[in-house]
Amino acid sequence: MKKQNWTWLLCFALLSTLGCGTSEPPPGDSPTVADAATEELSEVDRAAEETWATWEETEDPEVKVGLARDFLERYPDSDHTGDFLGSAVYHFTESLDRPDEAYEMVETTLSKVEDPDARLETQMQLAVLHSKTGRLDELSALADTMAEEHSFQFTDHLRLMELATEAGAWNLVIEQAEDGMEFASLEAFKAQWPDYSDEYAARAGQRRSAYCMAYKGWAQENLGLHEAALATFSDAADDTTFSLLGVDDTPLHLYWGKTLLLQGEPDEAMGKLSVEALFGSKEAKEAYAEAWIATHGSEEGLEERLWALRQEHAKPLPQFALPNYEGETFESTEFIGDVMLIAAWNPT
Amino acid sequence: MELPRLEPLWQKYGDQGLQVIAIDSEHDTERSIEFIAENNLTYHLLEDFEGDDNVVASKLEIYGFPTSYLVDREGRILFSHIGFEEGDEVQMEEEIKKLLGP
Repeated sequence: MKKQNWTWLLCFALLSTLGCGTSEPPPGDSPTVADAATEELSEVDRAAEETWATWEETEDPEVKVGLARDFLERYPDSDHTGDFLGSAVYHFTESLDRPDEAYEMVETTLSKVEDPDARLETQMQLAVLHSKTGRLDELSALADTMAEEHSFQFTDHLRLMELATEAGAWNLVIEQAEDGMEFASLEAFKAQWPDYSDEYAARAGQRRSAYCMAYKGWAQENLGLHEAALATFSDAADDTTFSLLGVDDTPLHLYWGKTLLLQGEPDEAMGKLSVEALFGSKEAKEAYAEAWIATHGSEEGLEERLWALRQEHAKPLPQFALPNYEGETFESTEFIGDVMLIAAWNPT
Repeated sequence: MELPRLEPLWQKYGDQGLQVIAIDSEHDTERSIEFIAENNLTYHLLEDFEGDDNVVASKLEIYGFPTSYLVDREGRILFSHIGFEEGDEVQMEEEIKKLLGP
């Protein structure tokens, strides 16, 4: 599997294989041109594919972590290391509540891994564990070690920002956000992905900036730096981060709204959160409901307000034509008049 | 995995005017066809293009999978689901009923 495919796959693995509800899309780095299907599968790739097939057949987390352990004992140092470790860490911590065994698996694997990418993924899983178990000093020290050993890409900073945020390691969040800002430009994006158009790269650079500022502002608020937090969010405001539905596809408006809510400004908070509450993450919906209750005293009227907002903000479905597997073309306009449920998926 | 959970919705509401449309964004046709057959999916199953013609990213602006949109009879996107958790289909069903109307 090419490295290029990775954020794409990570995102999908988290969303569907593990069933966890992370709602962030990858930060604009996902390539649209990648095809590993034509490559010959190596022995380790075949073994990984077989293991995933067995993995899909069971719901039992005990069996799943066993599969990951067997695979990593046979092939500790491959392109699949991060995926198997990540899945095992998830089940050890979320389903089985045995983080010690996850630590053991990650540390054993780390001692055997030499490939730089596989090492980075393994260290990242160690960071996940430190984050989940609240080992803040270890998390910060590990981030330093990783930065010394590897030449970080933006997504590495982003993942550490997310993990540090979950753990409440606010100083580490700010450090990673500031380092991440070095990648938040058209030029930096093109240095990594030269085949993309300037227009795409400019937008991707803006999104990177919005990610960094979102996490930084939220960290500042949590450190009690209220004015600085608001200044950070204002500096980051940029409409190039909005997706088709009007949702900010970074956490900027979520954290901005949550910060305003904490600062006792529920009306302003609702302004920042409204579109997110309609089309974005569950966290945004919850924060919006909290702001509503703060201004109205109860949940009464909330559903009606959201329904009215939904009508107001609804966007028309873009017109498209695509083939089915028999080669017949489907026109999106064909079904105007019916209700459409459109699901974008990928089979891996 | 979201797709098999959409089949009952299609079976239940198809004749009331619900169209279920899955767009495969990965270009691994063989694997997709296998998945579709294994899960007996019978609704509309489409393949996206590669590169600049990519509809999912370029027109629908979807970057995380699975993501779904619910479109009302006037062609407006009224609901979206990013990611898919156990039980999301229950909420989705409520939204579909709302859009189908009485």
